Amino acid sequence: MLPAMSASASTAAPGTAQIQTLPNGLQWLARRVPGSQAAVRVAYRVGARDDPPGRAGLSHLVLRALSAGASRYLEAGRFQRLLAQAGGSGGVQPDEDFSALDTLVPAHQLERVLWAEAERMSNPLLDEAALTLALAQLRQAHQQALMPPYARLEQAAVRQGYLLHPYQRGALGDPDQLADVGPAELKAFHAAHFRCDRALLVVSGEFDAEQLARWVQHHFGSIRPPLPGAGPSPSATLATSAPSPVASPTPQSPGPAPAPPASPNAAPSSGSAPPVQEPRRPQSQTVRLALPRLPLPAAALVWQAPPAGDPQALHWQMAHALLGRGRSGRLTDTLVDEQGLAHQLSLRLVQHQQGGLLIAQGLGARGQSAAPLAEALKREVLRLPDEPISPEEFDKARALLRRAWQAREATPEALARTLSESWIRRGDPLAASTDLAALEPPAANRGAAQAGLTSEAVQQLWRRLVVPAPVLTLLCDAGGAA
Amino acid sequence: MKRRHLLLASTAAPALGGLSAPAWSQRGFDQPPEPGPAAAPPVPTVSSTALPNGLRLSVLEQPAAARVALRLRVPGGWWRETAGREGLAELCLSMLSQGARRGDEVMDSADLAFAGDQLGRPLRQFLSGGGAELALEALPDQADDAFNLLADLASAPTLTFEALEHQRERAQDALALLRAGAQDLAPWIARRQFWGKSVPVASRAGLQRLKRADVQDFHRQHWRPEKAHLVVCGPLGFAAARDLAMDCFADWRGAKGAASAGTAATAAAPPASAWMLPLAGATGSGCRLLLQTALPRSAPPATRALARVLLLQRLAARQPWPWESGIEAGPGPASPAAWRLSLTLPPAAVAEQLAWLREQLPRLAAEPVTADDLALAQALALGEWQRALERTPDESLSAAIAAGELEDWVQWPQRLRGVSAPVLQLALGACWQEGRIHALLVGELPPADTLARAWPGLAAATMRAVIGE
Repeated sequence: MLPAMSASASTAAPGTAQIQTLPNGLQWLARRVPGSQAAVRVAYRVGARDDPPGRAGLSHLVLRALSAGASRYLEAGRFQRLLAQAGGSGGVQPDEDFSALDTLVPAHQLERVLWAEAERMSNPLLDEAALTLALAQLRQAHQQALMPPYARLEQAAVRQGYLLHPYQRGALGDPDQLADVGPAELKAFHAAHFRCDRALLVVSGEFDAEQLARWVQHHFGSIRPPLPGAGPSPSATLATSAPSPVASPTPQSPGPAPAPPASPNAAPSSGSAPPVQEPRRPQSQTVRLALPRLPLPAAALVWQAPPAGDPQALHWQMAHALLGRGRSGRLTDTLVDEQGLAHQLSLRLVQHQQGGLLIAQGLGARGQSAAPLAEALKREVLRLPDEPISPEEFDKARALLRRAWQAREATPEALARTLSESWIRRGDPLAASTDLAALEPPAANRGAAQAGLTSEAVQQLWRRLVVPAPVLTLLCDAGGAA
Repeated sequence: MKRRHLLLASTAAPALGGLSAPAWSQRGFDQPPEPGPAAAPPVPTVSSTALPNGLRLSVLEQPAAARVALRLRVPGGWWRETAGREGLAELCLSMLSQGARRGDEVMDSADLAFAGDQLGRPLRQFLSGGGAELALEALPDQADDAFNLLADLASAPTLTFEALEHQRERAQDALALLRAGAQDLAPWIARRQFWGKSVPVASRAGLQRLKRADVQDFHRQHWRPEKAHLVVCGPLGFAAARDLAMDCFADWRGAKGAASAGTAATAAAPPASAWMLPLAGATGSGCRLLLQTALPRSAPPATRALARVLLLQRLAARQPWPWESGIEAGPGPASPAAWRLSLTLPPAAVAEQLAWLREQLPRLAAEPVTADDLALAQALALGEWQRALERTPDESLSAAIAAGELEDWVQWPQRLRGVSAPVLQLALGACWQEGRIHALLVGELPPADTLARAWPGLAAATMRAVIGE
């Protein structure tokens, strides 16, 4: 007999993006994507920000150890072989806010993968062998990330972009801090954080909704809930509340951003460490980095940005699209094509659960130097409110965003990723879909009118939150001159 | 029935002095459930025709897709560059997006960029040895805009002096970047290592010598309708796609008097070699390790794919690393293809890994292929194909057409099933034989003596020797 659903479980039909909760606390949701494949993603609400001091990367290490898949009924290597025999693939996603295990298989293999995922969730073998393997893989992933010539500039932008928040450690961690981790520490961290009641299971792709519900009940419902008191350590907790330094006040009611509205899909907060408060950057700062033998000068400008759940996140995204998306974004159009100052430009809007950064990075064309490049880049970013945005330009940015966001839901694995990230970062797995609806022109739907997504509103936001904000400038001249 | 949950064990373990509580036996969870019945693999239907001007059109109709994807491919890749004109294919491709005519109207680079972005995804340009491609995407009601834009770019680029100067400078900067990063540089060195010095590699001085007339000639030679292939995938029927192609591309005429396009050189693979190229200032950035072997062109595509995925599986079963594996075609029909394995490693791990590979790679390739191995490889290769068909059908179809493997692509499931274990073993065993593996290390290297012990014969190379500048 299957276990009964918990009282808090939703009564919505499976197959929608409505979260169900099993009696052991595991949350799950499923959404169909037509095709031949099915994706299974298990996302735990523990990420690099939860790593203990001096152990940057511990959550990543546990994730790698789990991904090896060795467990009570799966000897080492069998998980991967089972996936391969199914014609599928698997992977991991370490992140600042969460840790996720991914698999993608032909749809008829779905139940086998659910069994295997439940197995590595409930009975993982975190022994010396798993630890050695995980550490080797973590070192390799860390090394791979450092291979591009400008990787250390990108790293510095994050490390120095956050003043205090553990986000500054990045998602991958530091292998040197993990060299002496033993199996006992690995197991203890796993027990505290990688619990079924801190996980979200997402299934997307081709499946029969009723059958899937039975499978999930059968394979995951039988996992024993964690013992009382086996909660997460508050290691990353530095404050008890976290108003973002750049949370967007609504135009009508200036002040800190309100909490996102309660939703039946909201990620539960019980057991979570309180958010860390990132202070506002007190003043602009310029740092010169001496990176060896760079072929071209480079500059990065870093502004504090609001967290993913900010009520005006859509406006930030639109501003980002106007400046940095596509071949005709303002930064590229002006600095690469028109003025020839830069060889390459990028604008990244990084929005985590508790804070974010806006990072404009450029490689100067030959003959340029870093400081003038940074000045030009800054000028162009800050000019957004001054230069009129034509309806055509706004529609173009909207088209770029629409396509990018449609792609987030177009394949089973992309949708699983989107749903879980929205759940963890924004408290609602459907938030990304809501964005897409709100993107349409106001005449077409009510969502856009409510969101107030107009060029004037975007410019106003920029004028209020970015133009006067202190900025961190990182400069690297070619050849390592500092 | 409850699973014995590790949380219980791991929570209790520290308190019990590290002793793990034994999990108790449970029926029903000790074996994976049997898979359900597999759905029949899809059979993609590709409709093809040729326009009066010779442009070939292939359409894969996908009614459920949200967007129409277009790819226009010509054989003007870097293998077509002649000595002294290295970098020309890339320069020509990049200049297409710098200006084009539509009737009497001239669109500059900003107009073209804006037009592509308006469709929702920027114009993309791809260059390989075998060809050059332009790719666009659009919603179905904007498909005509995408067809028009693609036709303008391919058939009526302005190729101005200003665009040449702008793109030349960008190409020279890109070259400097390429040489600073081991990951991007390594494949270029590997090509020279594998096919010899006939592989064209751009140099700063060479780029400086290129003239507008060179670009125009290259465009005339290779960007011609009778050499081009347009691939359309998405919610657009064949008739509609053909009509749009006729409307937009019918006026495209190859310029008269174009010089002979020539044929790409045929390169025979030099004997196996082992090179290491340290990059100055690469401290902390890691070492890029590449291994290559020749893959006979006679091996059918399905056999090649099965060999590739099976070897990766065998490596993954013994190694923790995420190896990348790819097969690159050579310059001519008689040239062997290069099967390449690559990986980034911390320098401290390189020597041991290299020694292991030298000893084990030939053994892994020579292992008997069992029925289970064959089934596993078939499942993996089928899964790869299905995912490509659903995610990036235009890319996958265009690549198959360019390789002359459309028939195989369409009938992929049957082709995979048609490969037997002995045939697969023969193909796999013919590769990665001792003495026939090229090894290459680029970036931050461990001490040379440790490497020499790991792979005897490993020789230091210089940028000047392998790239020529």
